[in-house]
Amino acid sequence: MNQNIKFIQGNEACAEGAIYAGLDFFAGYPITPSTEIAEHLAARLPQKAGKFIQMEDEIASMCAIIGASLTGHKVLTATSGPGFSLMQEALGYAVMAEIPCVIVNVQRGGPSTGIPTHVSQGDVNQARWGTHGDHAIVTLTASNHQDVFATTVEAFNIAETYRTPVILLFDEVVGHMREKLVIPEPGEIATVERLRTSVAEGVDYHPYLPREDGRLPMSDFGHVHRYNVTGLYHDMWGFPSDNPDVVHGLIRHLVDKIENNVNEIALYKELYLDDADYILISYGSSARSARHVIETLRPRGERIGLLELQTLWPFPADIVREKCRNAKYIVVVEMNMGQIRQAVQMAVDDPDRVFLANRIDGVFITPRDIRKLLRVIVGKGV
Amino acid sequence: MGIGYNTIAFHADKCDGCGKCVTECARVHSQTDNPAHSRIHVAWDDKAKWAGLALCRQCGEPDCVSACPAGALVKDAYSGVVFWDENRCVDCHLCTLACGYAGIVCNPETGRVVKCDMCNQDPACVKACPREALEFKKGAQLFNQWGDLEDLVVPGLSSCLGCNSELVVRHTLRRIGPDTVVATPPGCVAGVGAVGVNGITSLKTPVFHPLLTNTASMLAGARRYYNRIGRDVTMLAFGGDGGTADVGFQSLSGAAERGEQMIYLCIDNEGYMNTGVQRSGTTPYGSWTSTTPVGKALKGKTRDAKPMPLIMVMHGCEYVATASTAYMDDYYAKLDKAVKAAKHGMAYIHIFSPCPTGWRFPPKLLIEAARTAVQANLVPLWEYEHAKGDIEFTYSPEHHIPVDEYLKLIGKYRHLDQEQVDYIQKKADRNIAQLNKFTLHQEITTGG
Repeated sequence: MNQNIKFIQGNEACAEGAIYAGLDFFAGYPITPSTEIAEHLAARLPQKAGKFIQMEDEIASMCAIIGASLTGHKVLTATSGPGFSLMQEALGYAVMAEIPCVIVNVQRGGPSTGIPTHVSQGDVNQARWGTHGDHAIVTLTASNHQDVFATTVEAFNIAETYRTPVILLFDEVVGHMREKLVIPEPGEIATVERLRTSVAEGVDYHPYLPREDGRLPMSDFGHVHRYNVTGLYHDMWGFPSDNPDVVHGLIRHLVDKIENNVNEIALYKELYLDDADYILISYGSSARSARHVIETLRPRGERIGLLELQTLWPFPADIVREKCRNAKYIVVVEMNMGQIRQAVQMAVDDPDRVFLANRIDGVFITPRDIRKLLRVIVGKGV
Repeated sequence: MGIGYNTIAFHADKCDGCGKCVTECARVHSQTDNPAHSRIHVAWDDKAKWAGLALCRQCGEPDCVSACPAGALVKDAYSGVVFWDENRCVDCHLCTLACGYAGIVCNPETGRVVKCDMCNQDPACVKACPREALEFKKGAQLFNQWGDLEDLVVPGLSSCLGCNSELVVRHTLRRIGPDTVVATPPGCVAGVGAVGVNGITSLKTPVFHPLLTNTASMLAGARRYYNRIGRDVTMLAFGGDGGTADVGFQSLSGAAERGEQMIYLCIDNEGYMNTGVQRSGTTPYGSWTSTTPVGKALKGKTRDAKPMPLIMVMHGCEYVATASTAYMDDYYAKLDKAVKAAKHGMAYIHIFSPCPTGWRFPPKLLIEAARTAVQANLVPLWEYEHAKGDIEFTYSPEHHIPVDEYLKLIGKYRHLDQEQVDYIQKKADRNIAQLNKFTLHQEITTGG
């Protein structure tokens, strides 16, 4: 029997994906429904000579991984809505100081303490705009455990490639559901290692001077090169600066390095889109119900297709516009009050085609719910 | 509510049949050591190592009293003791037949009956027992004093079997009364229904369910408002150990420094039990939790618990105390002082709260765990009054038991090796030594 087949929770699949990607430092704080990631890594990381720390809160967790990442480790923290709120200031710091790190937010109902053990996808815009100031951010999600594993690996790859924090936005259903996971053999999924500087010891190293391809090689903090790290606007040496050119240049760099690579970062799956009159756009656990609707209705001759987004931010607007060009109805299936619906409306040519099929009551959206709403939207029994 | 009486409890497993209680009883009542004059008798089976006690139970509805034709036996309503009037007794000995416990028997020397009178609420037999097999239970005083106060927690909480937190909440609110604003952040107390769910709630006071990060700050805001409008309301926080020592520490520290008027109660079950047993800042060394696992590489938590009560003393709180539910009279006395202190500043009580679910021990051992931890000096009971400026022990740590006696009860310590047990013993001794430095009135030696 294949030893790599596991029957586990999505949270554990995420933890395993992180280990596959080369995670060797985790700092976190218990919060439902993400705690299993910490619990799993508390046992798994010491076996791999990695480091697990339970911190006193989420602020500390986020800051600890920033510190560890600077010294050359692949790092992760996991939390849920309230903890994610506490992390926002430090998340902005990681954006500003360009520190690769991965933050998992297993979403529960919000705002505030909300509905801790129930499902929601309400943190989509928080992931985008939770920290203050103009910035770009990468947010990935997944609907099944195999994808949870793969996107977790991808999150580390993107974090290392673009020197950016990456948010993994799962939800309670994906986190707590148990299903099969086949752990790929080493090398089966490509992993990106940290790009370290080739500047020799004793030679000036510029931590914030991009190469020609835009990437910034890193030097393990406190190792052979002396440099400064700050959340202030800074120049190529990492020294604080209020020079307008430097400030303008840095913010453009921080935003452009992500926004200019939307299509490289964009992950999505499609089903029957070629001839679809109706397109369901969904992501995370609600995409499972959307997929079920499509697999039920297609054999009956309904021209319905699915676009499952795995990259939420930067929003793959071009891809969405292209895929939805010929659709009569675009129905966004999500468990919030239309956070991605808004992004889709801004992306497509004729936004009046865009509708929302959602649930916001802490209950998982079922295929039946979606079909009921489709009847209302389309005006006939599909 | 009725009235409760003190009673003499017998721990058969601790008795070795030495008979010192019998001799002492005879001595006190007849100035001889003739066991015939004793009101207490012990049947000892040396082969089976079994002890049986023959002593008056001071029954609620005593059969001896109803059997007596002369009215010589009367149950005293105040003390609960069944008294025998030798002048009225007609020596029919019907009472000895009526009693099912051999609690009233005939003295062969005098031909008259003898029975226990509890030595005017100070039984000599209990003091004579060298193995503490006899214990004088005085909990009745507590019941009589507080039993009639309203229980502000309704029955039917969804807490785990043997939950100590529920016990703490019930007793605390019973003492502090209904004119209270309760704040409890996310955690077990909120989770079992203190905040309520689906239209029902368990507390009869207003409940403030703040965030885990800032219980003390939110209460401070409410308190300042009440001060402004001149209403005397007690602000009471039930914080868990995580919400107190970890994530909520910053707000608690700030509130203590500003001298906010509130009672902050930390129910310390040594971990994040509500999210499934993760370690916290107050989890003691060696504990198994889901984030301090036990395996080849790790053997439970490697760090000591944060000494929250001492930290709060250093903040200059009006009143700081530690407590354990095994010593309820002690706890009630401390609550009295806390209520008074909270009118001037912060009163902080750190209550030890064993958790059968998270610590992996049978619920029936809850109070036993709460008691042995105190006796082993792992949870020293003391209080600090700012006006006095020193720490006073409320339970003498002088005659302590080895920590092993406590550790072996608790499943989360099952994996400990001798080295770890030795470390915990040393730590306990050191803690007492450290506390001694803060005491002015007592100098207590520990160890050998």
